[in-house]
Amino acid sequence: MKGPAFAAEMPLLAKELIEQAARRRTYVVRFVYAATLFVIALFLFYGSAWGNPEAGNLGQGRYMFEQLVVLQFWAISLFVPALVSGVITIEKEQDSLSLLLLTTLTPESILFQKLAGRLVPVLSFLLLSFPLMAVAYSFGGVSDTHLWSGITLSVASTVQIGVLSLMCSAYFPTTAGAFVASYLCVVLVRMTVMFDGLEWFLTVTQRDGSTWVGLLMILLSCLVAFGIARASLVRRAFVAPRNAVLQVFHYLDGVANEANEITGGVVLFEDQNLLPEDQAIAWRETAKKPLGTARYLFRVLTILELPILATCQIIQGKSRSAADSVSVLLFVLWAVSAVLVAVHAAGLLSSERTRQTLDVLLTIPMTGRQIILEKFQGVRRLMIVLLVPFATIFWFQDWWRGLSTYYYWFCSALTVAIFLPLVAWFSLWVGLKIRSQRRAILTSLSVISVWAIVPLAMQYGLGRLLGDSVLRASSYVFALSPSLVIPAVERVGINRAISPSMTELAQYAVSFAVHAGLLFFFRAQCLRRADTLLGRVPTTADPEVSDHSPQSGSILDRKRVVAE
Amino acid sequence: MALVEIDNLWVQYGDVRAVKGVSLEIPQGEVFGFIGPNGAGKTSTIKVLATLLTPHHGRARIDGIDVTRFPMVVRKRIGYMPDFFGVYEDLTVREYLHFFAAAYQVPRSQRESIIGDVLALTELTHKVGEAVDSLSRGMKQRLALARVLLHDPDLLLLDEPASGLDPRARIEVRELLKALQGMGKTILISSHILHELAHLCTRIGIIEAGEMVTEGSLDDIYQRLGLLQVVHVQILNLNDDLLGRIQAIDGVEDLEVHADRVAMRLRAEMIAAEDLLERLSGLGARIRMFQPEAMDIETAFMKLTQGKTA
Repeated sequence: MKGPAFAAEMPLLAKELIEQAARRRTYVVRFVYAATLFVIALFLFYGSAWGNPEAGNLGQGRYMFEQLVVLQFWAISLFVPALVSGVITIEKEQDSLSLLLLTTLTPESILFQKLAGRLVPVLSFLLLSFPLMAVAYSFGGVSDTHLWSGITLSVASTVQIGVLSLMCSAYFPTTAGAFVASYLCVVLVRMTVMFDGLEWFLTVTQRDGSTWVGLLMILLSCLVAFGIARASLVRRAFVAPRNAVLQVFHYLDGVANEANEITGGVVLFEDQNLLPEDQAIAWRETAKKPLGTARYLFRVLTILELPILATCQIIQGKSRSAADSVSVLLFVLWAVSAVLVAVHAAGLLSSERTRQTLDVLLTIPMTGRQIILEKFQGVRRLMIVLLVPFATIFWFQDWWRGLSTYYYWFCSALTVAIFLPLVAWFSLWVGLKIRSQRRAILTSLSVISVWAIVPLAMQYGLGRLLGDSVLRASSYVFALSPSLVIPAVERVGINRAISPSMTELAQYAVSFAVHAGLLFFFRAQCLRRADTLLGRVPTTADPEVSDHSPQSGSILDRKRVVAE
Repeated sequence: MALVEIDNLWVQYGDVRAVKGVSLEIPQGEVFGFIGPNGAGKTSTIKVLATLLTPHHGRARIDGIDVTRFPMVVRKRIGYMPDFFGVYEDLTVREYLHFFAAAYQVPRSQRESIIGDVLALTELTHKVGEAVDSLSRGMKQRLALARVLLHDPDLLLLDEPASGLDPRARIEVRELLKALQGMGKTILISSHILHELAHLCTRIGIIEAGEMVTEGSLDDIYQRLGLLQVVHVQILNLNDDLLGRIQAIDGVEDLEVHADRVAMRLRAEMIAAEDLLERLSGLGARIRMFQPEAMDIETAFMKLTQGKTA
């Protein structure tokens, strides 16, 4: 059968598109994306136009259009790095990049076709929003400049973020490293206003700025990123994968050692070079892994604790309303902690699979439950360290606002005691179910994000759509998301003017009970089905068979005996 | 009693049957070579014995202990070496061995001496302080062998131990395995590098598409395959009458007359090549060349397998 003409010219692109077309996931994701986009747009449009019939609908189109474009921009920022960051690293991990480089395809062509293979589906996502843009346009107030700048922003941002992710994929040896770096690049672009697509769009539409300068800057950033990707593709094609966190810590070790010469060699934490005694797996997790050793955990603690202490110190001399920023700091701390714990827990066993070390581990005479509990020791240590900044914030709120009530402490402590282990055990469960480390981390982070964000967005949307009465009635359901419970505890707890009503208390109780139930469910799943989830023959009650501990005398002695 | 008993073992991945009714027995102290092309079912069979796979049907026992019913007991008695070493970027050789010694509950008082012994045996003593990931592939294989010896198991399950090694490393591993054989270990070793096994194994089993094609000592297999052994003979006074009389010899299956020689197919259990030579002389044949086709493990493998996968 004759294939399409472009398949001969761009075989890599054709292969990527054929593979995607054959996957059911492609269509599921497209449907979910379209459904989510249309539901959110419905909320936005209802609030803007149909929600205010007395204000009249005409002229509302511009606001609706801008909201839609901004929504698309955030969706692109969220999805494109995840889609593109693995495009080259997967080839590296599967040892197939060398085969690609040996073909007659030029490095530029490989990069372009790989990028196009991932961006074509994203651009098809963008097409889905065109009917919505048409609806907004029909309400009036949208000029041609708005329309074209909106479409251009969507396409340019897709390409820009795609190329940045491609650059990370070509540079980093592992998908996990490229994935994290891609999102950091997106954040950096957002911070450097000059290259930011959204900033350019807002300049054009709201401040009547230049149409071309911003766009040129975006294209310039694309060219630079593509150039770096081109330079990295061959040079870094065979760089051995290293643990990125470990590398960062090793680099910091070097910096700290140099700085230490000035201070005269003060060592706060020195890792003892101990060998394992009984709990071998726990030893490896707490003595050899970057997020397990005391020295590196102290560094994590310092990074998290210093900004909190500094903020508390600054606020101390200011008004009580300034203390709200500590609440913001708490929410940021929750986000960072959830990501740290989820990534660590999801990778506990999936990384052993990826590194092909799991089979050997599974043949040691330990039950699956023991293996998981010992593996979990490192995560447990990390969670204990994270308690310090949480406790600092709770203590500061209590002291600064003079709460003198157990309610705030109790509820806050419950949030940490339930939500953090829940994130850990859920992510560990995902890591046991999903074979690839990258997919395990992505899946657990995605589910946690959806679990945290969707109820929040729905509450906002339903509030606008159906009014406060419906919102209040559905608050029991929404209290099942940590992203609503944690701010509620903080708001009611620190505001002495508000006493929690019985309804609110009941909501918290339901929320904590459900989350605690989920925690026990996932923990029990991990431990009871440990052997099956790990991929070994389940251990039953073994009979008392004669102990087979190593015989006395050395192996070489026995060898000599046999030889004699 | 055999140390390893596999009886009608079936392993299935979804709809794919990887192992179809494999049965075999390995007595104590034997080195059993498991030969087969990629995808034949070698690794699946070994994984069942290593308690990593539950068979779909059939039974596997080690020292009389059912691997699916009492996996924990079995784990103490086996040393499993997979076909890939894995990545241990955070451990040195000493830490790696101590890690597994602790995992196998080797008494603390004995660990240092046992680790010293296995390092000496695998000639890695000088590498004890180096990072595991910095070792060459051959050294990693030797280190893996050192690991499986830590708890002094009865049975070693070695999945492709020489795969991907250079000739020197391959010879080193082979010598090491001979040393283990000398220590009386029972070894089940899979490989598709046939010469390795020919030098090492007391018995071999050839598996293809999940089914055991043949099993036995190398001599047995050669003899069995000798049923179709070919002997090339150049006879100076060849004529139809002589050909008829040769054809009538018991054990000569058929003759194929070429311009320069006659290829004779023999049933080896009925007539050996040297006996044929004697009979031909007795028939008055003037023989210039008598060349039995060499029967080696590669020939056996090629004769017994058809290149099928499960």
